[in-house]
Amino acid sequence: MFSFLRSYFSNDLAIDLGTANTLIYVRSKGIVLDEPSVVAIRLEGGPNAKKTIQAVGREAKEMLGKAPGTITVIRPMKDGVIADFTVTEQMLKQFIKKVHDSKLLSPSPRIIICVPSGSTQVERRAIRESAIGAGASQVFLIEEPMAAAIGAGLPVAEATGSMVVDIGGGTTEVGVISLGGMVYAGSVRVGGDKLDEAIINYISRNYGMLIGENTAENIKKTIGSAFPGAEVREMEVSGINKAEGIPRKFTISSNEILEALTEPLNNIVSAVKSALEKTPPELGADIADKGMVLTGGGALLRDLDRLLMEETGLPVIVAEEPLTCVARGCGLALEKMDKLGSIFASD
Amino acid sequence: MSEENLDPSSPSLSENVEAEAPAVMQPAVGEQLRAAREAKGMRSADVAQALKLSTRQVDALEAGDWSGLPGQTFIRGFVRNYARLLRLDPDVLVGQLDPRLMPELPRLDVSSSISAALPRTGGPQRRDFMVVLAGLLLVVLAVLAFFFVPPDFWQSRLAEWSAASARVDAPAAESSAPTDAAPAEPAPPAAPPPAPEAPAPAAAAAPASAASTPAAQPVLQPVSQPSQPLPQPATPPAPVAAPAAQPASPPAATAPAATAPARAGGVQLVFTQPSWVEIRDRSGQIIFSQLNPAGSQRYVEGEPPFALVVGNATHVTVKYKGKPVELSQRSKDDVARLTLE
Repeated sequence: MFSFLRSYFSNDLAIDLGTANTLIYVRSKGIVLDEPSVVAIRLEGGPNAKKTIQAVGREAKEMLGKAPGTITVIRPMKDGVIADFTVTEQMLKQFIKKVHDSKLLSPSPRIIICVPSGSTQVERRAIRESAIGAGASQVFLIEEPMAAAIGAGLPVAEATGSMVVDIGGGTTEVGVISLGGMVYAGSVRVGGDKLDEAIINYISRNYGMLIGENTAENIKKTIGSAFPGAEVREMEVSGINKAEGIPRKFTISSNEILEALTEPLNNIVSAVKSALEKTPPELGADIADKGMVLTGGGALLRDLDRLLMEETGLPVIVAEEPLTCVARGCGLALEKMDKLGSIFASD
Repeated sequence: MSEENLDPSSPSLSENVEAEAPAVMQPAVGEQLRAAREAKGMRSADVAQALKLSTRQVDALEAGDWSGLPGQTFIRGFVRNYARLLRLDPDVLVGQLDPRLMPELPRLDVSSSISAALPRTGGPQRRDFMVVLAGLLLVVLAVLAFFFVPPDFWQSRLAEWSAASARVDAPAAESSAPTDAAPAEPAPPAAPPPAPEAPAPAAAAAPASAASTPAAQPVLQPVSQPSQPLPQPATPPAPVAAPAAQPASPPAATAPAATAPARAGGVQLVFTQPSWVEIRDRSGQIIFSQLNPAGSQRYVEGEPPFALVVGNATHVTVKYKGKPVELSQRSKDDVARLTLE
């Protein structure tokens, strides 16, 4: 009874706990928080030596790669799952605190949280536990492709196959959905992070320059593309010359980035192809008619849909506002969670 | 022209007026796409090839025939792709799309007209459940009965029944009533005058009372409930004794006048409130011990001296050998302990 009263005071939340960004959807309010999944932890010395959280989210992300030795900037999520349990818990706690207005009662909301479809039982358990540790009274898990499909507005409950490709920061999720359930779910641990990594490695190899994660991400967003286009764009980048050890500026073109991204993109393409291979023929016919929908931050990579179209020969569309698809899908599931059973994932 | 394109999708919708506003100013999205494609000298087959759509779908897009296309999300996506292919601004075109195509909240629950749970096989059967339920019900009833039915329920019922059915027994019961109430067998021999009466009228009074005045009958009834501590066992004895004694013993006939002087040797108790009384006779045996309801009277005979313990003494009047006994002086905490010689 008491918990019922408390849940009356605290709003239910849907959380897209992503490798790159964490989005929180509050029931009947919409998406209220969209911050990078980054935590900065300060090590205090002296007599009261302890670790404190210096910053969370956007603020912490700006410290990434710029922090002194006393501050560690951590991305507690890796490949879509928890890499650092305690820090994830603290980060969630801070985010939940941010979205809760009432200061009087410590919030204990019901939380829907999404997990990669390929995550193991241990990884799901970790996410559930960290959400409970962050103050949730109940935790429901939903698989990311399902949430993405709902958020993209696909007819998930109908007897027609819908294919969704969610390219997140850590993982790429491919799901084929029909009648409110997942017919096929595949997950490869390739996402935005791997693309950034590929750019860093490429520049290091070919230019002998070291660049940071944020710079790499910036390059990817500005001139990155997945398919050779007509126009070639260029961008000026600064990094540290490995040979000289001095910061230098150099210019890099979109074709080079395309070359850098070939390998991770091929992984994504093969994940999509293998999903298509394993789709039952009736649903495959629906998918051939409608094509697949791209969601997640990776869908914003220029011409990624062209690449998938050429590789698969199927129509590919990019969802509207792909970055928030998963969070919106979780939110829709949250609004109707008392009536829905089939869309939630088991442990 | 543009209105025609929109019409097939939803001719009956009332939002036609709203949809017309942009349509009047500009050609429909499909028209714009077709014009741009023709300007580039592409055939619809080329577009279908580039977008991996079928030619039918491209034609449907250009004609604005949404019914043949797979749904709002996909229509918007296809228009976006088509616009990008033709280097038009996709956002502008998608913005001009019929507002009726705006994505509405997708239904998440699988529609079903029937909602019946399948019976579980191998699990516990429903019948077992019923048996358990019945058993529980019985237990509950038993517990309720234990607490709420008075312990002497059946005795009183039997007594009432026997009283109603056999008034024959009434005189006998009546005469033994006071002594029965005090469950002391030695009492009757100790009180010689009424004791011998009892068997005699029991047989003799049967025809007598049956034949005698009807006035006797109502009197008999309350008296004939020996085991039930009913109010007037003491007052009726007088009139009751009269008809009962009439045929049998003249000395008993004098009893009514003096309010049981024949039993002068006994203890008379009158209760105005419920009270517990215990009486021991000479031998120290308990000859009377019970809780007496308010308004009742008791007459106890035995071999004196009597040792009395009277609870709630202020509401009990004790008469011994016809004289009232003062209790208040001998009571402590409303319990009187006294010995009557």
